[in-house]
Amino acid sequence: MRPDPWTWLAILFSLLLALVVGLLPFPQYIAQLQPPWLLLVVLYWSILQPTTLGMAGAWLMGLLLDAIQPSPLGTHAALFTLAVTPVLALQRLLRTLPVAQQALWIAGLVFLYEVGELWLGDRLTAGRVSADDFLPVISTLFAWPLIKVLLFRQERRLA
Amino acid sequence: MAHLFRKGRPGPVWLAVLLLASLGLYLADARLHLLDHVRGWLMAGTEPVQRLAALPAQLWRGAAEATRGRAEMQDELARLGQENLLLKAQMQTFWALQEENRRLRDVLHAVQPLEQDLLLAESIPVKGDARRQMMLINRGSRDGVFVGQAVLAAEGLLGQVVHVGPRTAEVLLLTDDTHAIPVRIARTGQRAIARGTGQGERMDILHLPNNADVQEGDLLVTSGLGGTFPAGYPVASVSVIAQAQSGAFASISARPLAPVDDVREIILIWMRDASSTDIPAPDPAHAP
Repeated sequence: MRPDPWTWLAILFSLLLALVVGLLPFPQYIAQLQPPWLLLVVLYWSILQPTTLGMAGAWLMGLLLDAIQPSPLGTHAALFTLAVTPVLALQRLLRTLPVAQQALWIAGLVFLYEVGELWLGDRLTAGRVSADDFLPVISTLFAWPLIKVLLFRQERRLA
Repeated sequence: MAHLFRKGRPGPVWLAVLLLASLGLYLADARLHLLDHVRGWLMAGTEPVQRLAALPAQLWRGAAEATRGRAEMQDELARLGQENLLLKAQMQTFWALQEENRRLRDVLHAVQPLEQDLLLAESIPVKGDARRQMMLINRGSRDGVFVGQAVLAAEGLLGQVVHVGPRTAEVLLLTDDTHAIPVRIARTGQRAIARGTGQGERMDILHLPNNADVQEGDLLVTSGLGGTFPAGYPVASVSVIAQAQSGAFASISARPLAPVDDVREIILIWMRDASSTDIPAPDPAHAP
């Protein structure tokens, strides 16, 4: 199944939007609440269109995040690849789940992603970890339905 | 990218290849520092996205600026005029002191202090990683910005450049919890290290013994050791001194002088040897 140009457009636009929202200069108490928007959008498209973005696409998006955040090149690339792997493997299951259950699965993944981010950022080993570091897991529970709503038309069209 | 995956199932081979590629990139970038150029190209590529993300904040700034009342503006103008007058008055003695300092150093055959070139830059309001204290600025390698360059705010030292793109650069602020800077207490000359805590208002002062002569409000200036930062720039003022019950070192906190959470205009510094240049000493009569 080859995705049509409109799907590509929707994918690129949603990825760009996720990047921009993640970069907005919010005050610290909001900034630490921000879910990993780019990862969520990548996971969303992996569930809906597993062949389009795929693992290599996730890797590239991770590299982009490394460049933009900035973090050592390769760290988010590896984390994105690892996060998208179980989603691609369980794609058929995840796709049939109701939104709330999907959000729980994704939040679990985001938890592992945050642990990986803390570890690769030398924070886990140095003990510079607080409960605030896991706020994105909570906000993911709300961000996932929001993404589903925003991209509802795409889901309809591709169903 | 569709041709990479004919089926929707993840291939273990692809996973291994991508993870190995990430590892290779990580080692080359973070451990061996071979990829500064690649980072530069990537920053050139991401610059439009960052400019786009900065747009709402900049529009907000612009709107706030545009709606300010006339009276408020006149107040500020008057304040700036007075400030300028005071600075000019101080500068009159500065040139004389600099000349005297140069002469005395000549007499003592002491090493001449480094001279500094300055360039103004502006911050681009984006926030990538909420856990880090970093800042994007609108000058890059085209303006001669380099990795390790010292960055100032009007009030005091701000941090150092860590990544350089063609027209942007990433600055690591001195309050980031991976950043440490050699300082000296201006009053006593005692040396210490000021380490960031990840919070904008607090730095930890390390390696000062329990009986060290420190008071609240003491000014910490760069010591110039290590060579990254020029000596003598104000960094922070001591805010809390807690005598540790155990251990040899006191637990001291300081507040950075630069408003690290909200800086718009910053200053980049280039250091050069005074003796290696033939730029004439500024003439007090023509000084601005």
